[in-house]
Amino acid sequence: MTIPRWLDSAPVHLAILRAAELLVPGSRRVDWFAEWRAELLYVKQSRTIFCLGAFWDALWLRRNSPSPNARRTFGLESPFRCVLFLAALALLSLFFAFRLPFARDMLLPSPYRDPANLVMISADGQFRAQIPTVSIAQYRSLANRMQSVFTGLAFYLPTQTRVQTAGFSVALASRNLFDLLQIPVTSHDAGRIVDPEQPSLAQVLQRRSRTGRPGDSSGRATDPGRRSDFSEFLAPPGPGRCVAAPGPATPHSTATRLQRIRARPSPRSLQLPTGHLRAQ
Amino acid sequence: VALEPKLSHTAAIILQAVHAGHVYGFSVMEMTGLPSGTVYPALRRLERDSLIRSHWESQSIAGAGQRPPRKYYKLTRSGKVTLEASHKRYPLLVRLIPAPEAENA
Repeated sequence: MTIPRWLDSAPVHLAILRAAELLVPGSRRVDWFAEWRAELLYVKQSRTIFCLGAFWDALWLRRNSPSPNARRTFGLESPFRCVLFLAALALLSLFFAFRLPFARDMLLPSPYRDPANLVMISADGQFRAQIPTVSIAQYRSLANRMQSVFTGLAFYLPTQTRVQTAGFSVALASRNLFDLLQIPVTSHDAGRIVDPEQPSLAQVLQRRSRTGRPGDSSGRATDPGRRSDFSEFLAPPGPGRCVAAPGPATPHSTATRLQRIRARPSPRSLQLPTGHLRAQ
Repeated sequence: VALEPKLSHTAAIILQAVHAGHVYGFSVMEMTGLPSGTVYPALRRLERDSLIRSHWESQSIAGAGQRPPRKYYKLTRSGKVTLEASHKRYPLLVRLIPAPEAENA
């Protein structure tokens, strides 16, 4: 075996012995290292290979020097304790899995009945974007043009609203969103139709916060772009989405450009919160 | 009746080398041609089985030679008995690594 010249140097030999020393039980390290270091002085050739043998020696010592303290620390000799330890590890792993971004949504079953046939639509080249990439105007255009491709097309856009101390997210969604996702929605939760003659939910929330009187709302929506084919409701924050269900006539090239909804965590945020604000 | 431990050929060679006066690890390596990763663990095993015992060279002797003290190995009584039994099992062992007393005989 040919060893590179830089590897056959005293610092490298010492480093190898020090690394192997870490495997030796603590009580025997000093003696062990002293012996190997002393022996190394007499080695004239293949010193690196000689030092590498120290790992085998250290491993043998480790395997054949039972440490009573270590046994007491882990106590995994009993099958019951071993199972208990594995269960604790599994619980810890689950805890971290649920705390990690998106992991919870990946672990839990999808709330939709047919998630395999739902896709997200993003603007070209923005497939991984976490911000809305399809505007309402684009959605409407798509909805008109893609009827032959998809069985349905829906839009969802949450917007953050700050009301004094609390943060709310008012979501604007096309009215067919829940039908498309096949989520059972009671009329109580169905949200409110966006009407230019009525204040937006954000305005209602802000007014309630100021007056402290629940149910008090007045004013007008100032966004003239809203139409009655959209409704708004309280929802957790998340990126805007254009959701579609591909039909049998969906071209393959289009299908490959659509992102599967299962790969994205945001659909769970489409669920309506239980503390839904009643329409005035 | 005490059972004599049966040594592997490698362990018997190393034990014979120590008996022949190769009393430290590198010397055993040179004599037997075995690598360090074999010789040193084998020495530990033989010492654990009380076939050899080790002792450190005195600091004064090592200091005089301007080198760190070495660890020497020596056969125990039990080791000698086991080695003699191994000679029957491996007859060429003595000829391969002759012990000083055998040479003088």
